[in-house]
Amino acid sequence: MFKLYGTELNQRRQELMLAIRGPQALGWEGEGFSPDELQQTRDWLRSRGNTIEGGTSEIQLNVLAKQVLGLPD
Amino acid sequence: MRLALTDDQTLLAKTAAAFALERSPLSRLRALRAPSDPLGYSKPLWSQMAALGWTGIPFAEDHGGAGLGLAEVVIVTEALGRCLAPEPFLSSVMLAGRAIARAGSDAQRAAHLAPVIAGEKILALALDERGTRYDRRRIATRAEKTAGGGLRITGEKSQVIDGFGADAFVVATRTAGNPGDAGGVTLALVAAGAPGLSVVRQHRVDGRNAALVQLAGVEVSASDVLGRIDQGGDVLDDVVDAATVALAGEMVGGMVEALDRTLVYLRERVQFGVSIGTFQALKHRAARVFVEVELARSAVLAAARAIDEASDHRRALVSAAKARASDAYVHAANEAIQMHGGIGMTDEHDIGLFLKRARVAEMTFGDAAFHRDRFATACGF
Repeated sequence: MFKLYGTELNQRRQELMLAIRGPQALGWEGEGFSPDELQQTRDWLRSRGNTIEGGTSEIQLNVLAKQVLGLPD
Repeated sequence: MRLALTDDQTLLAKTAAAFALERSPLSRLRALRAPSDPLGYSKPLWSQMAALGWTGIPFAEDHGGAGLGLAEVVIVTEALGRCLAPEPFLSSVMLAGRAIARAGSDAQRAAHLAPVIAGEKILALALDERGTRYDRRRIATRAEKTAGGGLRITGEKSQVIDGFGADAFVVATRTAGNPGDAGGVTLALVAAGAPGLSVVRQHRVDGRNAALVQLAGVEVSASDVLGRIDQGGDVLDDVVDAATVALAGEMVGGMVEALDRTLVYLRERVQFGVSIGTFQALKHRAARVFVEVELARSAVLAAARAIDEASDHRRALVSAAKARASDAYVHAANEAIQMHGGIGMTDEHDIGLFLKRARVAEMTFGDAAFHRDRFATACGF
């Protein structure tokens, strides 16, 4: 449950940060972007992997449905 | 409103799709986004697109164009979007080119629009600044009038689309009022080599050409002022609205391709002894993306027709299209990554390129929240 919720929460947080920063969150390197803004881009991209690595959200949901809720295969 | 394509439009769609598929595979992008190629697009391919007549589509015949409209423009941009083609259609044709067509004198059109349509020169619109976000009223770049009716421009333009290597710029500068005022903006033509002009390549997450353009007292003569002094805002409203629809068309192409590639993967990838496309949870998610894509496509077509017919509802429909396209492209790209699993997160896999482009396109000319707000305002709220 923590893996499922925590990773999706982090994705929502990163999406919110992008929406707040707007176009300044689009930088990859070089001129016109601050170090914080460039880090933001990387943090957002990295967060997309959170719901895949270490057991995807779909696997976590299957575990919850079968082992916690007792639903059949 | 008729949403079916005419015979001519169907032919254009077929030609554009075939050209994009054959001449612009995604492997081309990987070479273009390398630091060794700061231009980020191919000039030879751009010349071929011009030879096909694409660069003349939105211009009147007496301006040297094909006399077609946004309905045809979005057919081409959708094809470009499917293969993530980074050529300067939005910047040179839809932004700078159309600004010159709409506001320029005969002499300015002959000097600047003709080579844009021929694909010989690339022009860029220097519009956004770090502080403007999506609101053009916040333009802070200033110009003072010089003797002889020219302007001396000082300011900084950020993320100028295809600005690096552009032959000339259409610069939006304040000639009256203060940042936040709707009026008081003037457009001016500035050549790439003008004294006081500095153009630095910016690197964004999608790898495409963007530039930081600094103007330190750049002087332009009266003959390079585009349209009327202080009245550039009206030109920008129309030009950026049409470019927004063109971009939304590109975004539809991108989301269609991201979905198609995901469907291929869902059929091919085997887990627990079966294709993962047999899992109901994934089928439903793919079906939901499909619904979003089709809604976005219809919204884009409606906006294109509304501009072509000069409908009173065009501002609202442009915002509906961009809001839908922004949400749907990001959703389709996020779902594409998630359904590809670990392989989708690697830079070596092409599916991630759609997410990176989706994000930049989403925030170009206003994100979904900005356009929902503008839609509500246009509807009287």
